[in-house]
Amino acid sequence: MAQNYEDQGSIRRYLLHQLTGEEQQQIEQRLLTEDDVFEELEIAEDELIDDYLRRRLSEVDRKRFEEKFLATPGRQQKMRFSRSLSRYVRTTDSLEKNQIPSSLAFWNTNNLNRVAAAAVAVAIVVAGIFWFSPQPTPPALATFTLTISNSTRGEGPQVTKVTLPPNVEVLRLRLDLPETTSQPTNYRVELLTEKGTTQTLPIAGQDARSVVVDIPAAQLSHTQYALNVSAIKADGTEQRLSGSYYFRVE
Amino acid sequence: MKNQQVVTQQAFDNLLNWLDADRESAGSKYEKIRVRLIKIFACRGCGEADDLADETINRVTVKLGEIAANYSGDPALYFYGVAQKVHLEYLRKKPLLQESLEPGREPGGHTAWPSETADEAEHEYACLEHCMDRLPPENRRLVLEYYQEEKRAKIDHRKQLADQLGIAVNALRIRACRLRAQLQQCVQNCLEESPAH
Repeated sequence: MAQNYEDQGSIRRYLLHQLTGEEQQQIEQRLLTEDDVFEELEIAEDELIDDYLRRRLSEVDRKRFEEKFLATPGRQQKMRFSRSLSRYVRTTDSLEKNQIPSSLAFWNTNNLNRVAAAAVAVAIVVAGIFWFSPQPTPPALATFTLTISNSTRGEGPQVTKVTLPPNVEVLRLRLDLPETTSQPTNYRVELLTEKGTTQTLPIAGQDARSVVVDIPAAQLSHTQYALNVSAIKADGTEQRLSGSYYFRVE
Repeated sequence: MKNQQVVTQQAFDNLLNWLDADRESAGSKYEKIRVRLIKIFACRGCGEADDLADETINRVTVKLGEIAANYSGDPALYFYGVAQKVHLEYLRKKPLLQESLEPGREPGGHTAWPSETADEAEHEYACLEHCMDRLPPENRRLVLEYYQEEKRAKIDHRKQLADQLGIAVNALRIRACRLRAQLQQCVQNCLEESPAH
């Protein structure tokens, strides 16, 4: 593999139109003649899209990305796919973390000692459960990711269909924050029903890109709901995010 | 950019022969050059990268009689020289092209991307679920593991994952990228087979 970190950096800068004319020509000629460089470009494109979607690009790079990188239908398609993939991984990861351990990490041959230790630990825990008072098990979760839907858009709101298997006790909703949201101290999330009732939900978690809320499954019926999110600034003032998150329980 | 010259079968055969005496290798080299020219035009921000690549190839094909005997070096680099000229012409014609070929482009050069409806997004997501289910378990697991971590933990996590698989981090990047391309192709096929209504 002829690639090195310098090449990776050059290719990334090439994609963001940050190279001089001469540097650009050098990279392009290598793109045409070296398989490794072409493959690195494909990888760098994926990584750049991921960084854009996760808001890891500076403001300048972001603009370059939007104006130059996304100029072709092929790349727009690639970005739509990346958005779906990101959503799939987040959703599946949350679900599987609540259900099964990572098989890759668990069945690694280098980890046999840890496996043995884990087996002993599990045996102790199981014995504890039998011999002492029953421990509460974490509630079964179903996790969905919602994106904000602005009512001014012509095509109507984006409503996520939520199916809750009978064993699920809690619906966990990860609300993707709009990209323009600045970083306030906190958020307030309000659940609205079709009948017009409202309820403020406790925040189960938050990071730079999303807010997570849990809703007891028993509280939900087969109908449509909306969630309104307000950003609470450091001075205590609230500003509602434009748009709502919609879901329908089926 | 629709300025394509007529290329005869004989001229095309000559082009393939110039690329490689073996017909199969020549076809492979031709395809490689075309794909990479498209990529270069796309990287330069050209919306019609395919057309520009084809125009470049056509020009080389038509001129081949004059150049083949005296040219030495990798033919791909000759294509590059022609691509530079094609791109310059494209830039000169761009203001006119924007009006005729890019109705989605807003004044000021900012592209108005076709917005994806909620239904289309859900349909694509359903296709992705279908494609993920079809992956061999170890590949599915690799995709989930590779793309799960974010922020600072990402680099450590991928290093750990590469160690578990007994491969270098760069080899892991390549493997993940190929799987991702494979998945995207599968999703594309799925969308074409069952378009959203």
